[in-house]
Amino acid sequence: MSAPRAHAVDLDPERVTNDLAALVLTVVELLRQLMERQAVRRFDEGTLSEAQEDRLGTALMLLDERMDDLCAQHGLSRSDLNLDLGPLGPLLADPEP
Amino acid sequence: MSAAERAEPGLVCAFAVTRTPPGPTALASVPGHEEGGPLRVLDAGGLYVVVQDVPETLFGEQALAERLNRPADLERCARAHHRAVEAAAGTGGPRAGAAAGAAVVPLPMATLYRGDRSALRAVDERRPVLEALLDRLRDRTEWAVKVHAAEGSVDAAPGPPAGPEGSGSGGRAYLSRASARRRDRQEAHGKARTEAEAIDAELRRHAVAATRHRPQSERLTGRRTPQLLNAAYLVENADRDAFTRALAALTAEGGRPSVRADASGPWIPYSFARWDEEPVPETGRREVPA
Repeated sequence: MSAPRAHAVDLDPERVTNDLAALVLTVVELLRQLMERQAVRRFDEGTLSEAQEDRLGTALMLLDERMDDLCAQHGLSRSDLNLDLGPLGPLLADPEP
Repeated sequence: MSAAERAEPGLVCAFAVTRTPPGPTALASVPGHEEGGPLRVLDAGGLYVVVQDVPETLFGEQALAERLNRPADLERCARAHHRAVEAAAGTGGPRAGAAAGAAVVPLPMATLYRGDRSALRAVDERRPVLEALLDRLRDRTEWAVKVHAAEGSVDAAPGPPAGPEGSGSGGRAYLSRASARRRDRQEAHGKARTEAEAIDAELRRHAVAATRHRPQSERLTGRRTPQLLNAAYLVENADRDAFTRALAALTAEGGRPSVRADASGPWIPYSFARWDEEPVPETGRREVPA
């Protein structure tokens, strides 16, 4: 996200759109990471069939690629998609490199 | 209530409490807040407070809150505060170093009172705490140490090793790579954390007390890797050589590949001079990270 602008309400339409896009993508990225984490856990436990693993992995891979496209469209990098939650640390604990 | 108080005296900003007031000429050469009057000393009977008159329009509750929200103003304010605290310690001169000065209890930034009388009363009410702090901080300085995960050790963990099922482009291969990446990252993070703890343990051996602040965010540090340790150590002047030797060994390149440690000091012991809090316990007892 862009640097915090204290007090001033900035209504530049371009900027508002970009900030909104970044926020939406942050939420999507959070969900994607949670899903991937869960999938990896199941994969490591070996409780999925090979076919399930393949389907799940393919879906996550496509989602990952789609995120790259969306970020590029909005001129963002994955590391921009994070929120500092103060004492709780960053929202996305381990941003993808 | 006295007549002076009814007449709404102006705002007074207090910086530090000491037993040995700095001389007037030394004080006169140091500007406090740019917008305020000259620094002066209030005699609270055995304890002295360094204060400055500041304008209500800039230091009133609302105005101050707004100014402190602006990074540039906050920085100016913090620098002014530090200058005045150094002046109170008699260390404001050219590179006198914090060690040479008298013991001071630095007050929190922007400690404001309405008039000299309320400032003096505040000091008087906390006299036992202030006396104890002055005893505790005498001939001791603070050192700050920040430890970060080394660049490339946590976030940029080496690419996934192409194991038997790690190569290829199928869904399973993707999951396998993600799994390996997660494991590598966790290992690297665990290692870095262990090294940071080791650094802390080693430095505590040479310190009278230690305290941990909340790690700063990456936006604040301007680094790409997380801050693992944000600690302050209170060091006896007599032990300073041992402490700095330990520091030099710890911050030297190469010894601990997973982390980078940066140190600064000697500082006036801000972290150990909280006059409104329980005193920080001496070493020997582990403190819960803030």
